[in-house]
Amino acid sequence: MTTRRWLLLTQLLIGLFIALLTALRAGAQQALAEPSNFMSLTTFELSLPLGDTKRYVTGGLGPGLGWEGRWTVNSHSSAGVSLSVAGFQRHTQNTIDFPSGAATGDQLRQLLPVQALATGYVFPIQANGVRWYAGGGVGGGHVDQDFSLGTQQVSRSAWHLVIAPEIGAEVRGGPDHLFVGVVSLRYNAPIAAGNYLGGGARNFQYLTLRVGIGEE
Amino acid sequence: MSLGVPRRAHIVATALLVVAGLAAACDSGPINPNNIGWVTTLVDSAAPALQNARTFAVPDTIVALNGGTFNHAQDKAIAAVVRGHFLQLGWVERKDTTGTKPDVVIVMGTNTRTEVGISYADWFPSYGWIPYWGTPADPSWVWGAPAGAIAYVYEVGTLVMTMVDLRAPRETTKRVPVLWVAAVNGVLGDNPVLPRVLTGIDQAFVQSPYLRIP
Repeated sequence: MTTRRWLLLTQLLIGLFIALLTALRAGAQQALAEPSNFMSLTTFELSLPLGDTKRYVTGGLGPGLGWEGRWTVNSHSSAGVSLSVAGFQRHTQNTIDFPSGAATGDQLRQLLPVQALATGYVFPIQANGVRWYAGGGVGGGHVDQDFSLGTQQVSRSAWHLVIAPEIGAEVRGGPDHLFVGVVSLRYNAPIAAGNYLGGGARNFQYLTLRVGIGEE
Repeated sequence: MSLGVPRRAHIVATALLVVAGLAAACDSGPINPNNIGWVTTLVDSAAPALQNARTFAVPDTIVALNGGTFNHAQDKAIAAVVRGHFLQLGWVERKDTTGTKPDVVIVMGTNTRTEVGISYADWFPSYGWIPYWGTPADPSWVWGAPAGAIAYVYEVGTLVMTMVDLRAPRETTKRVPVLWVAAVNGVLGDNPVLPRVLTGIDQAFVQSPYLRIP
């Protein structure tokens, strides 16, 4: 990993650490005040590239991981924070034509979007143990773009404002319904920014299927 | 509700998963040596000098750059393939070094250390050796890269083919007038694998359609 990536990873870990502290604090508060109003959720994600993401890494799904904390506001809404990371990559052997030449060979294109969002959801439908919800998140995201040709790597990155609408469902089970399963679709729509490969700002969008497990 | 071990275990598991995911996502590029055989070509294809050139020459020697050494056993075979490509594209070969000079000469070299860009200082002694060249070049000369050329990393053993315009003024400008560069990355060594070299040369011409004489 490059120094810049280590810096990014450090920033992510600091963010994660703060989120965990927040979660622990909320858990401690929760232990003192029943009923619970906090849910910690781990999500396993698969993302479909769209827009500029699709143009850069054509085809394939990107795996990802996330953590989310949700605080119950009332019986029909919640608010929280969401941290997630996704990875897209594409391996090709194409020829790339430039204005003044061309290059052929083993190429690896990678995108590593990470996001920290403030989230809010409403639960308009609650039936048969399933809570359907709609909402989303707003926050910041960082995209790391890498292009490798042979042993040569070129990287770009930028911060983006991210808007991420989401729909999904929660299912509860286990003792006292403490365990939660979540399935959702999130449309990650960062605002175009940066100066990426090929020149200019990019808007690396993707649609994410999130499957989460958590406890309350 | 109890918030003892289960909650903390969940948080720790989440942290480990996220960190593991980040580590996996920060994978590096392909570094398998078998993947290194890539080809780049640089050209100012709109330059009138290239569009007007019709005759060429290809010396039989591949120059070892950076003061290194190189096994020359395959030089003639490689030069023959390069020559064949130019003939196939409609160029006319000028073998006579004393009569009318060719429009361009294609000099070939291999670098013995990793290089960035296309400025190979150790080319200069070789220009004095080229029979059509005239005034010997020295390091005070400038490498005339094609307009808009992009710098690449060239691994040790890269075969670099350089088309030099012999019609352009050289002595006064002290500029090596380059019209086309092709680099087949990391294919030449002490024991070059000829098929791999030739595949790379073929690719260099495939991705340079502007070399065809109309």
